[in-house]
Amino acid sequence: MRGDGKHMEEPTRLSAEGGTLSSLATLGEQGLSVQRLADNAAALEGRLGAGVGGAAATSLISKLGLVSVLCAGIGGGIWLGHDASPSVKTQTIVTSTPVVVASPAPASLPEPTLARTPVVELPTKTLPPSVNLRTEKKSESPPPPVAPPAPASELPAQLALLEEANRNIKLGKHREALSLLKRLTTRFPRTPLRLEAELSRAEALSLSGQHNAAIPLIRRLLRDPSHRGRHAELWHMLGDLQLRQEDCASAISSFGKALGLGLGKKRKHAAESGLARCHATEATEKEMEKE
Amino acid sequence: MGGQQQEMAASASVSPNAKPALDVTHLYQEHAAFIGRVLLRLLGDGTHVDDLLQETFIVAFQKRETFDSSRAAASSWLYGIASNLCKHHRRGAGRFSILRGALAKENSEPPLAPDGELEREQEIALVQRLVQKLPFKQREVFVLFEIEELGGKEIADMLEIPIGTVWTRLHDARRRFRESLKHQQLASEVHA
Repeated sequence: MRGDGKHMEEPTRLSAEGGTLSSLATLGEQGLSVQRLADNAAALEGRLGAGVGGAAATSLISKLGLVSVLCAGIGGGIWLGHDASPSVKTQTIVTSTPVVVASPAPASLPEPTLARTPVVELPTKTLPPSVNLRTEKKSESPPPPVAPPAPASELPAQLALLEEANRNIKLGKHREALSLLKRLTTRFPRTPLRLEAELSRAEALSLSGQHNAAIPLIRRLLRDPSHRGRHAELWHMLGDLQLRQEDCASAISSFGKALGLGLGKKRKHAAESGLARCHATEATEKEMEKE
Repeated sequence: MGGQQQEMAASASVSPNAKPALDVTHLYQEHAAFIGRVLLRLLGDGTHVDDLLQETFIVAFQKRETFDSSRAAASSWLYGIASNLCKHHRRGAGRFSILRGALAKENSEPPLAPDGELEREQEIALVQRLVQKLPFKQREVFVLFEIEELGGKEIADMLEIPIGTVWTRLHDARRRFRESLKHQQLASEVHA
């Protein structure tokens, strides 16, 4: 194949050889689901609507947006898909308690509020006049009173702590990560990053082998309705930890719940493998008991 | 997305001298599935795929003035952005990915009596894993040719490289891929 590539004919694709290589063609058919593309469209819209800030900030804020979209979707949020395209649908989640964006609105603002959860307190930013804002109920009364300018945001400091903690997790410095996460929730008890921080804490505890602390934390997160959108993931995580502790009965139940809630293909496969291991271990134990 | 098209296109802070806004919503509708699929194949699944997909269109919005439709197709331009983001992306940055990776390793033993479907899924997962082991430059050519089934010329335009380089990278990628696959298959035979 090396040489004068310009005059080379296109080679036959490997998938034509069949066998395992045919999986290459299958991979080409597997993309992001319509739902996932729609979630990303909504998050992207949110990010553009909020003004494009620092990459790190927007990345995290969007993650939060995604979490909230999932939570709100399951919790009975209202979906306002209004696109004829079959491939991508946009969704707007309207919370039961619309939140007024606390930034000084320009006088020409056509409609009053953009209801989106979570409303993260961003550095004061004026909404561009071209934004078409929607609300659960269109107010016919005069425009809402202009909110006083927001105080200097603490979000950057909170983000910095969370990002540093996540960086430490990646580097295997779990103790430092846990300490940073504790600092985040102690210094900013009402931080909008609480969900992310709790998930990071669960991750750090699990990775550092503190299963006895990780398991109750994951159980608590599972009881917290804010994490509803992550339940399948959390049950899967719990199942894995229980499997590590050789608690097969509990692991079987956790994997079952995770699979019942619906996991992505990869996670589904991992959960099924875990489940199969549990069943195999249980069968071996029973045989040994018989003997 | 419909009525929100102008909204998304124009909703970030725009300088008064900016060129007419490139319609990001339209771009997203047209190309998000392709970009998402390629990101998925280049980096493996995880929340980083969503992050990078969004980031691609954010960057596209920010750089909309540099896009010249007479010089490049929108898909090539967007792929260029996504590819650059991939290069800077540190693998495993997604939430839970480290843990999942560690746990998946532990729990990756095949079940005792796998049915046909599970075997097929395992094969697909293996192929995906091997693709991700390729060096990035080879990987992107391999993904675009073998998985996305694009033509050599299209890939050359997309990556802004000579077509000869496309074939060279593909050749090297195939060789590595075949070697890894053979190695894996031998290992699993021994294991069995």
